[in-house]
Amino acid sequence: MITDQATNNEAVPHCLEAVDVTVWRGETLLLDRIKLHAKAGEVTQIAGANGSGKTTLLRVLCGAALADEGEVHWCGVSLSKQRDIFNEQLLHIGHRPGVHAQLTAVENLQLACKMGNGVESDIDSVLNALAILPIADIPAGHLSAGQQRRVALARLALLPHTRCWVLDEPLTALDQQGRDWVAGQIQMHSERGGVTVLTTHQPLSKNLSGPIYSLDAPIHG
Amino acid sequence: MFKWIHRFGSSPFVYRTANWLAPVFGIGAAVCILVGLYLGLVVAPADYEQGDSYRIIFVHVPSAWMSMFVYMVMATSSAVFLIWRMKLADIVAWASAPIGASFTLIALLTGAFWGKPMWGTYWIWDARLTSELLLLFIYLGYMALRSSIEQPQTAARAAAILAVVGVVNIPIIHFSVEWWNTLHQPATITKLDKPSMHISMLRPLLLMVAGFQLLYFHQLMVRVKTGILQREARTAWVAELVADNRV
Amino acid sequence: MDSLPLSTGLLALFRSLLTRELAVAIRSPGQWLNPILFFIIVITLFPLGVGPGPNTLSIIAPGIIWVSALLSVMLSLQSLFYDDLHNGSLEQFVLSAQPLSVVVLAKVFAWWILGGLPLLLVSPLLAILMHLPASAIPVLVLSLLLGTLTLILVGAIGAALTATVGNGGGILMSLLVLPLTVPVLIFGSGAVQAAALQMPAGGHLSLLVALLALALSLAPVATAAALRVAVSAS
Repeated sequence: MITDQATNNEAVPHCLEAVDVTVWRGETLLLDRIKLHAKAGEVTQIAGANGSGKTTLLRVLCGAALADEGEVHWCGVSLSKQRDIFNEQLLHIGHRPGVHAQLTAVENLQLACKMGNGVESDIDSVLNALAILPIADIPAGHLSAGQQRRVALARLALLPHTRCWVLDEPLTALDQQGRDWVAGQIQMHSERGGVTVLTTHQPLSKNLSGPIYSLDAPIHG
Repeated sequence: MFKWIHRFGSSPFVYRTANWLAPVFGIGAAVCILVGLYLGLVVAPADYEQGDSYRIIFVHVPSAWMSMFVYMVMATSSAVFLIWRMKLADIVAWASAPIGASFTLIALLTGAFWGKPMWGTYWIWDARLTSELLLLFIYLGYMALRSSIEQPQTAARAAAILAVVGVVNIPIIHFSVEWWNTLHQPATITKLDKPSMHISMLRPLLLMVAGFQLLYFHQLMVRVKTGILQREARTAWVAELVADNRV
Repeated sequence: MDSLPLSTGLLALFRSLLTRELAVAIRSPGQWLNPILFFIIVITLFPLGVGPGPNTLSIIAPGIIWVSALLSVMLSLQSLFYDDLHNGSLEQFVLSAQPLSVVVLAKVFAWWILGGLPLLLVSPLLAILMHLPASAIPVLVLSLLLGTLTLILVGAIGAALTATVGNGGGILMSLLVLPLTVPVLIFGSGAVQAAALQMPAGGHLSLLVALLALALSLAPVATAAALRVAVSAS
């Protein structure tokens, strides 16, 4: 099958592409024929004011939402034709972090590892690196916003085999130490040849370079 | 493969076709129904057991048949919409639901009117009427789901799934209601269906069935036009139509 | 991938999802305690409304118990996907390479342990309150065992379809699902009625098994499709 060759052949660099992605929100045109090309080893940043459609674009890019027109391609093949293959490679941290309030950090991450073939034995060391090991046994609902965010971000280190990271505001609610940790993870991911697409309002570390797409002025190729 | 129809571009074509077909079906329906009613109410003789009250079958049977037929159209087009994301299929499903619900309601009401002289009561838990009532609930559920989800795209997909789930369930519901009915009902009651029919009664009945079928297609075309205009309100060709006052 | 063979992997996944659901539920007892209380209270209302005559009660008992079970399951199911949709877990499930229907099955089964099993356990007691003949009690429990699983499977479709509907989602879910549950109600209460009249209930029960088999094979697929729609809209 063509799809298998395209995605499993390590010689072909991975890339995530938006081809004329158009999304309507009711009567307003939220995303107008967006073209985007996120290459392996680069950090592609999406900028824009609140309400400019950053989150929607990220959700379309990772396949959580559908575009009204246009397509998203992973390694040149449409997402709709290779759902499972793409999902194996995908790590998405969304606007909603995917942390259940009634489960502890460890329980949340154990399930994330089961769902994404992650390394369960690393959970303690990752939580330690994120400085939340002492509170790992408290239901996540009792943690602060920054701490909950850290629980979600721990997936970056637990699922290192994923090739496509789509991160919605990964730096929000984090202190300097947390931001450095995230930047370090993204840098390692880039060096492994991974694709990163993210939105942020904070400045990224200088080591992370890549194209910036702004949604404020329409992008037409 | 189905991309051409999924494009906005094909909508004007569908709109024009529907615009042309609507009056054709409308006239056909009117002719069939008027001739059918004349033959059924005036020409056909009274039944020797039921007198004139049997004549309600000329409305009841076609609408009961249409209530099922329309649901099948709805479920099929919903499946097509889910599989190929064909927008027109969703418009057909959306357009059919209230029409089907109306046919179901007519079948229920005429069944009740027939019940009064026959059974001495407006309502009896007859298997057919009960199934028809449940079908009405399913139609209403479909419309309620559609109207309570704001985003049209989401509403369309959720409703399509419900329509397909419903079509798997309807035969099971029908079978279980029949079973329940035979357990609880003495079998002596005259059934509304299958009277041995004389040709003078059969002819108007078939005409009425054809008329109701055409009536559905007429209504469908009218509503499909509305549906297309609603969904394409932002396109240039609709703006042109409105400007030329041709809607 | 260097993962386990597919079937073992899925079984392990199912088990950890089940543990997760049960852990969540134990930490919020209202979730499973309220439906069972509702079930008991609704049934005790009937003698007050209809009159305490043992003959009347024993005639209507199968229907009353079954309708109450149906309503209690529907009420509790409203929130089946609510938390996971709103905290983003559902999005993670949809975007994982694991089959979504396994997630659905795990949730359904956990919900049955919490919302269905207690109904079975208290049903003999309620049968006595309703003057149902003692001989019908085993059939009642068995019919509830088969029926509640089917109800939850079908109800999950409705819960997934209405997950994004805010206010009034619960009542809408019941509107969608209740007509579809009529067969379960007919065969479930039919089995108990037959048993109460000293007649064989095997036919009803085997039809309940057939319904369960059908629901098990089709409902998770429909629920998964509905969840994808819900996630794309949230």
